[in-house]
Amino acid sequence: MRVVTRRELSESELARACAGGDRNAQAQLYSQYASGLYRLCLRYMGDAEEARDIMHDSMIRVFDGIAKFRYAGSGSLGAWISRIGVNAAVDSLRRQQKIQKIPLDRTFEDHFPEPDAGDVEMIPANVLQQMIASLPVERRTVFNMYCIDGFSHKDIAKALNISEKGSASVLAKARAGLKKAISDYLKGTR
Amino acid sequence: MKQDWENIIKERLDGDRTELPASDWNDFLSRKSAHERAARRRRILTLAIALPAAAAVVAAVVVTFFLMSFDEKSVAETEILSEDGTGYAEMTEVCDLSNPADADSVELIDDDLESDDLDVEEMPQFPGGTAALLEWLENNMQYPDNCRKNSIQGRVLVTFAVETDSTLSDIRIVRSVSPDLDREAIRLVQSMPKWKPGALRGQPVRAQMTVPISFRLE
Repeated sequence: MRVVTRRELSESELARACAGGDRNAQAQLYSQYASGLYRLCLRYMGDAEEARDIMHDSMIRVFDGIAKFRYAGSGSLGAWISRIGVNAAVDSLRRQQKIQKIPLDRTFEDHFPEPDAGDVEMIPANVLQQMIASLPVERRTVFNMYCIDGFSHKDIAKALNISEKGSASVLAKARAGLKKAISDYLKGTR
Repeated sequence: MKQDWENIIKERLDGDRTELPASDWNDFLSRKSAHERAARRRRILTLAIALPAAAAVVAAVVVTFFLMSFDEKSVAETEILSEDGTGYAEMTEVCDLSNPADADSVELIDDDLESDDLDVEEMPQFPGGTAALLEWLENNMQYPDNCRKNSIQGRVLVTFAVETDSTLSDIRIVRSVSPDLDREAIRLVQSMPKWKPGALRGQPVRAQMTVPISFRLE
């Protein structure tokens, strides 16, 4: 048997090779990005099976569209893939009508204190995942988009077809929910 | 503005290295090839609709088989697996049920093979035919409660192979709507009565069928 060892391709080489239909490059891209993309999908979908489904869909979109990707410095490929993942997840949530018109609730108040950053650092990642997954779907979506994936309220409003005010109001509720979950968790571990 | 603790959450999540199961790459590849097949099917469909019968004659085999769905337009795909199980012919059937003429003959357009290689005499058949299949699906469908509650509906495409001994194997979802509807679609296929196997030149052959199962709420 002939063993061929291949050099790991750099980010820009990888994108170009995948666009050219190179199977090995596709496998390398997949092994580098699939797990991260899966965790992203899990944050949005809150369900492992659905997350894997959406991850696979996103990866298909990645391979279908990679010729259009423009390398813009280190990390740009990962960022581009994440965008595709977020879009696929949001599409799916909207298609399943999990995200519908979000009513503005002006009477809402948040009584929870800001958690201590040091305390949050002690919480295992999978517990944090679980806390986010347990938020109602539209709050989870806005929190993920704004706090983790770096979307602006303007982008979120456009993606979810809600107003910017609506997005901010949902974010406030998501934060309150997370603060409560964090404080409950910390109480439980003390 | 993002709070400190939120940045910490982001860092913690970014640092998470939960890996996918080793089987994932293969799962992905089969998903991808189903997607590519579907894309090719869409291309053939466009062709089939765009070109009138005259052009279709070149590559088409006419069979008296069709599958209906509850929608007005119906698409069913049939793959005949060759005897040695390596290659297969893929065909797409298009029929418009609002047009009664279509109910009698449906054109199959071969995508991969020379038309000479295709000598389809008989497609696998549900006992009693397509009407019976539709009725059976309707009578045996157990609409998942939570889908009913959340008014999740849609058309699930399920593919399966009808073996020469009438058993069904390789049951897979080609187009998913929701995990619960997919599960119900698979359950329906698994509990179906035995199909009559397809035949090629008089010999029973293993054939792949794709059946659309429509979940509609009143």
